Amino acid sequence: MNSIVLTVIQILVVLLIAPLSIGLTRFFKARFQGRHGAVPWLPYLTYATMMKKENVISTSGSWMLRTTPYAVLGSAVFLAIVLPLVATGGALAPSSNFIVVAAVLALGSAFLVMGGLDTGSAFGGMGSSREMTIVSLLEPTVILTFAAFALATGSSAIDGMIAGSSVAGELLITAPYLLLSLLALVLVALAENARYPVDNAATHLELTMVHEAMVLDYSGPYLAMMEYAAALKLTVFALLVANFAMPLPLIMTSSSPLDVLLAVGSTILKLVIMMFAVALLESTIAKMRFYRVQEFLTGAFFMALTGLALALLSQLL
Amino acid sequence: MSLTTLAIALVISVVGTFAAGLVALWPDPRAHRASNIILAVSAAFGAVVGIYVATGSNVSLIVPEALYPVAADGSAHAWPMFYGMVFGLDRFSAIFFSILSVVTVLVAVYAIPYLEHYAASYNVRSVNALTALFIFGMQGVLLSTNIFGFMTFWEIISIASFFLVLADGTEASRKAGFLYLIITHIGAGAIMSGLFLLSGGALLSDFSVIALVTPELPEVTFSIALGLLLFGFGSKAGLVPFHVWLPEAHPQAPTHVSALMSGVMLKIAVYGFLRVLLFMLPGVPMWFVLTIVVLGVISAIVGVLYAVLERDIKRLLAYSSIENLGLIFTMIGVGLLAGQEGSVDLTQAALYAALFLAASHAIFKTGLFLSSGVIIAAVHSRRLEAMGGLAQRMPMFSVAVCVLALSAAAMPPFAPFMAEWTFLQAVVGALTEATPMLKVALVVILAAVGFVAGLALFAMVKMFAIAFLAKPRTDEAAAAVEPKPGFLIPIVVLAFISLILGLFSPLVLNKIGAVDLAPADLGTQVISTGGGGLAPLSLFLVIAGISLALFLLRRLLSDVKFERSYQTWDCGQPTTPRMEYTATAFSAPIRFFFRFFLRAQKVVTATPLTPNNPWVASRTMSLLVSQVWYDRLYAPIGSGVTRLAGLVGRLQNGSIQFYISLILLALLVTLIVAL
Repeated sequence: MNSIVLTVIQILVVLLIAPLSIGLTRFFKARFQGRHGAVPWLPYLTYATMMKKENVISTSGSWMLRTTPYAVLGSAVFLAIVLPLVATGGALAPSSNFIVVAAVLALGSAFLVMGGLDTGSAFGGMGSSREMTIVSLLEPTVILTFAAFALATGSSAIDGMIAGSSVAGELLITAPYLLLSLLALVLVALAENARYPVDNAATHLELTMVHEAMVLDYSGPYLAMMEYAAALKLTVFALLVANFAMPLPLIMTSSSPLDVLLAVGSTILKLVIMMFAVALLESTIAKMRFYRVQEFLTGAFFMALTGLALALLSQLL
Repeated sequence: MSLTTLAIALVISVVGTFAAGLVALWPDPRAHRASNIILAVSAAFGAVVGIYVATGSNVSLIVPEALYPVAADGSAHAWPMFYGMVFGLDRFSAIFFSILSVVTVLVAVYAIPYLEHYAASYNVRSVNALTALFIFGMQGVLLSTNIFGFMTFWEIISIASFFLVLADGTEASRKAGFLYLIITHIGAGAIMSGLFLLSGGALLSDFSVIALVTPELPEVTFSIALGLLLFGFGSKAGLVPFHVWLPEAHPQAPTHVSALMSGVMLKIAVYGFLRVLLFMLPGVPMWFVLTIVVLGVISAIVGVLYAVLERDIKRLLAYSSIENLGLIFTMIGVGLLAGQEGSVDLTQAALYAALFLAASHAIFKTGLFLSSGVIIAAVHSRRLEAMGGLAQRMPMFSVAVCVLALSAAAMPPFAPFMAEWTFLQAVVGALTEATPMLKVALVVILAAVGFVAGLALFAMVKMFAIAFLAKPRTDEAAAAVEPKPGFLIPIVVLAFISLILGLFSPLVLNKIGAVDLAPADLGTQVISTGGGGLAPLSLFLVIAGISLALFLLRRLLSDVKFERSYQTWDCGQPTTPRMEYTATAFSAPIRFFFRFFLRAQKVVTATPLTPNNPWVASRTMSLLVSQVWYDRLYAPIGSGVTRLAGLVGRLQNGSIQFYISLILLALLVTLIVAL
């Protein structure tokens, strides 16, 4: 199959299932809390409604306020295109170099932060300050985590890290020492996506808000773009972690149409499993006070460092 | 171009710079414009020569030889002046000469409206003359090929920039200026002693001769020379702990001079260090290499942490310079370390990354300093807390600054990102094959550079967002308008260069000699190192394509016209600028997380309405960020010197007989020691 077709399939699938991720976590969390909960596909309807609503622009905002939704969504779409989520060996897979991915991720967050400050409300500023802190202190962890994967697989493109093994998820069997790095990646994913224990995505309470505070003053289509970007980022991270951990098929250039169907089905399965895990986590642990988040970040950093050290030690064997 | 043409253009550039300084002294108001135009034009000549030599294959320009071709009998070039001193430009110095010339052109254009705006606060004539002299000194350092020329021009740089720091004549400038003068002279002394130790005391010793002599030096002499050179160049480059002068002196100079000091002068220190290290020394001991790495990493971390906390826009930029110079020295150190441990690929990648970062830093830091000048001219304050709302009032300018700030934060697709990518990718690639000792060093450096990159983004986002976004915090900021073309054009051009340099970084790297890093068989569109590749242009096209698609989809799926403006919602109350997050508040989490190191002291004083009424009339908050090395290192040295001076003062009792007997005593001691 043509590598361009692979990329097209991947981007369509990921863009289509992205809202489901948010819907599924809310659904599972509601069930854990003994509520009936809304249907998992409610976010599709929400975003569609928001697209039709009036766009209210803050008078204190500048061009930054209008650029932010595009930059934030754009960076999420970039990740959804280049990373090996549904297919490996796509046309833009060489661009999935982990340093580039980390930088694009940071770029999206930087715009999110600037957009949050542009409205001039103290809420936006507070969320921005917190988000910026988390993102900047997470940077070394991201680099060290992926450096360990790069060392173990001999590829610094994330696509190559996944595609190096014949079955996705095989990596952990051939290189079990990567488990620590994978855990570090999970911690990175939780912090990047504003989930417990760093942020609570379901609240509008100033004591806890990070992500919600920054998007508070967006409305209508812009809000839809921001929320969709958040859902997309969550989906991307969930699928990436799942592809490192679970032996389920991905589409490759050698795939038949049946394989494609199988891979798309397994992608949805992966998303359901991961979102269940997120909901389980969020229902069992408490959110950290923001000024204790440094402990979480330090923990993630040392986990990534140990993972890299183990990867280096295992080379000596 | 023939060598003779190049040599003539080079001479025009240098002489023109000096002439610009002389013209500036002419007591006529038109001299200001004339001087800066001459400066810009002669720097443009320099830029052409510099870029030609830097990108040409093995062109080495030696001025007397090119102008006075070698005689047939081999009696060589007869250079009639300066004891046969030779000036020249090779590929390496040409890289720095190009940086200097390009920045000078834009700074000279900017200086025209800038000094006209500040005609009341500065003596325009002397500032122009000193600026030209300052640039002339930097040109001279780059062109010199022996110790005498190098040190002479080095001194010109120091003296000219010292007077430029004093230019506004305030008490703060005077303090900063003298701190700068002292440290820069101790540094210059160290460099001179170091070079003399290497050359065996020969004043006119050519650099190529030193390279021949150094292998025979005794180890102790060699080590002392290395230590002196590292201190000398490190103090000029602002490495921690010799950096205390930098955040004081750079911001006090007129803004276009701050830009030159941060953007170019620091690179001259890098140039000098690399010139000695790569061209004169036969190989350096391990302790020296590790010291470079450690100083580099510490500088980067300390620089970026203080940049995050800083609330004065020019000091923030100065700290960011310390961070970037720290990164450059880290790269140099890693390159040397890898060379000693046999990882040749990493050596090449790290050294070229250092050069590329040096060039990119010159571009974006100049741009940011020039921008800070525009902001300060509008707001009349250097405090970030006095700014805000400028993006609404200066849209074009703010976009350019945003690009420069993102460049400074090493975000793709701008030039500094390419340098950092090359370095990080090479480090990761070298992990597999490296020796155990190098592996440990590389992991630490990977973590440290990641940490610095993250916080650099924090500092730059803070600077841009607090200065430009939301509502203006003062009336001056509210009255700001788009700057004049003379201000705007150099800044926009610099932002554009940062983008272009990034997109075509493989081509640039290939042209300056990194043919393995950016191989020609990939159409020089890919930087490839350490088992990874990066194609900046196609990355940019992907991002641009995504943006365009989103832009169109938004128009397709929703009604763009269906919108209205309304104040930011705050439960029905009007929102005021007082409610906005300040720079202090924005960086509070970092201050808290690193309190063990930063030791910031926040003092909140509440004044009650009357002594027995608990209602608070006013509340003031002051924040004191201590500087460990200042309190623990410089203050004790300073008080020690003062005490010593006090003791020496006792000798001066006014009795001439006593003085004469002292002289006699000194003579005796000298004779005893000498014989």
